[in-house]
Amino acid sequence: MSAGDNTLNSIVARLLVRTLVGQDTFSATPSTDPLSTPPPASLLASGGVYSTEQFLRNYVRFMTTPGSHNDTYAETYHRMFFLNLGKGLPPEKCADDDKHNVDSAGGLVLIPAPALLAAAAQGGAAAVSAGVTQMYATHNSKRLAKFVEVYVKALHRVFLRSEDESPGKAIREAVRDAGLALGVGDLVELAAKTPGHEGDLAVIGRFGSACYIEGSLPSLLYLAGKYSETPQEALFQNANVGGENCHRGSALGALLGAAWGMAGWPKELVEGLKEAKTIHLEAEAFARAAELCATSGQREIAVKILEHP
Amino acid sequence: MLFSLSLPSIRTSYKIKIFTFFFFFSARQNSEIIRLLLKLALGVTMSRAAMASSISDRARGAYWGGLIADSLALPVHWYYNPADIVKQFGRITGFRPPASHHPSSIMSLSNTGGAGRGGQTGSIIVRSKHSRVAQESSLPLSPLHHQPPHLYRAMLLITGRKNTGGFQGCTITKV
Repeated sequence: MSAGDNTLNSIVARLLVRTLVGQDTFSATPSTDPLSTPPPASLLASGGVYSTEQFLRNYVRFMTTPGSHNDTYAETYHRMFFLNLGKGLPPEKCADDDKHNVDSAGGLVLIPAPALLAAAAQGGAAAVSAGVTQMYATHNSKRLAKFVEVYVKALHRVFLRSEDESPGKAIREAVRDAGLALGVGDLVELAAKTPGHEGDLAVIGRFGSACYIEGSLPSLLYLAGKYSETPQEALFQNANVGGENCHRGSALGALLGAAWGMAGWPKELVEGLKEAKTIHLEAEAFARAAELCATSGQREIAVKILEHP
Repeated sequence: MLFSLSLPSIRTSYKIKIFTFFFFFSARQNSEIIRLLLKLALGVTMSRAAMASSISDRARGAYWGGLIADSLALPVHWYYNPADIVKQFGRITGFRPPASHHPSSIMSLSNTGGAGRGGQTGSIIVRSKHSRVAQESSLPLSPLHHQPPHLYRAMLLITGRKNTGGFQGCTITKV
């Protein structure tokens, strides 16, 4: 892999966004990257209709298409899913749980997109429902669902902040509530009295820098709280503390971006992603879908999510 | 009167009270109050439009943020000793390619036939012809790529994050 690439779970998150905006087909020709085909212009304009079944169909097809991605590692949830598929189970019954590795930060990577659309359309309860519904499509874990709920509540809180509230303040409020809900104390207060990189290493070392959700979500929230005014720095720091930083980072970046919008990300980071041109089309389609969800009379996407628990 | 007409569902007793309220003010004061009410109504409409625009920007920001963060961390994914990051990369402040050596890769511990850790003889994960190791070990993979997707059954194609240690070899069973 090379500079500006994305890892497998993030590539699947792109596939999910394409599904959400109605791009449910891609070229299955070997050696072409399905995600390199831009979504049709009509879909960019019209939003789309979503169901987890549709996502799972695309997911199976994507994962079994040679050359569809260039990552060498697939997390446990993928392996368990395809083990079950190989046994002949239908895709909607393939999500599994090993009571250990499935409950990980990787389980948060697919959550933001459907949760944000549902939040835009119908608010916090719908966002949690959409997030948990999405999680069960690939992760059959009640334990993980509790963490997803905490994460989505934070996401919803910052995403629908009022215009009068600054993004940084909204993030800190959301982080404080989430930390208390997880029983790890006031993470904003902890961040305020923890100086520098060494301090971050100590805190994240204590919570856990690995993938396991009970450590990775508090670590993510701590970074969000500490760098709430400098989202770019939060992502740098997330990388530099190591561990399972890709998936933790993905969920962290979505949380900060949901508060800051594009003002949070400098041009060089946006344009530096290897697939930036195609991601731009997906992002615009997704933004349009969110806007449609937020406007009265255009609530179909979230409603469809809730019809498929 | 103008005010009570704009609120047709309001009860008559309240209309009288509102009318009385306006009666005690001068015409100039009344026009100012009406202007204020119009401004308020316009403000609600404006803020709804602003909110829709904020929502699309925040959705965009969330999407890009997730992908940017993942890619920034990619070269140092699973570096469990942060000192190794400093040693190999200094400080990560932009997109970087992975180094040729990963000091704390756990990939070779991953079970290729199911969940978590385990052996690497399972067939859930196989290597494609693009994989360095597959080429080195001359695994007979090429014919697989000519089969339609549904014949691949439960198979993930893993092709090339070259920094991460690597599997010691996979047995390909039936596909």
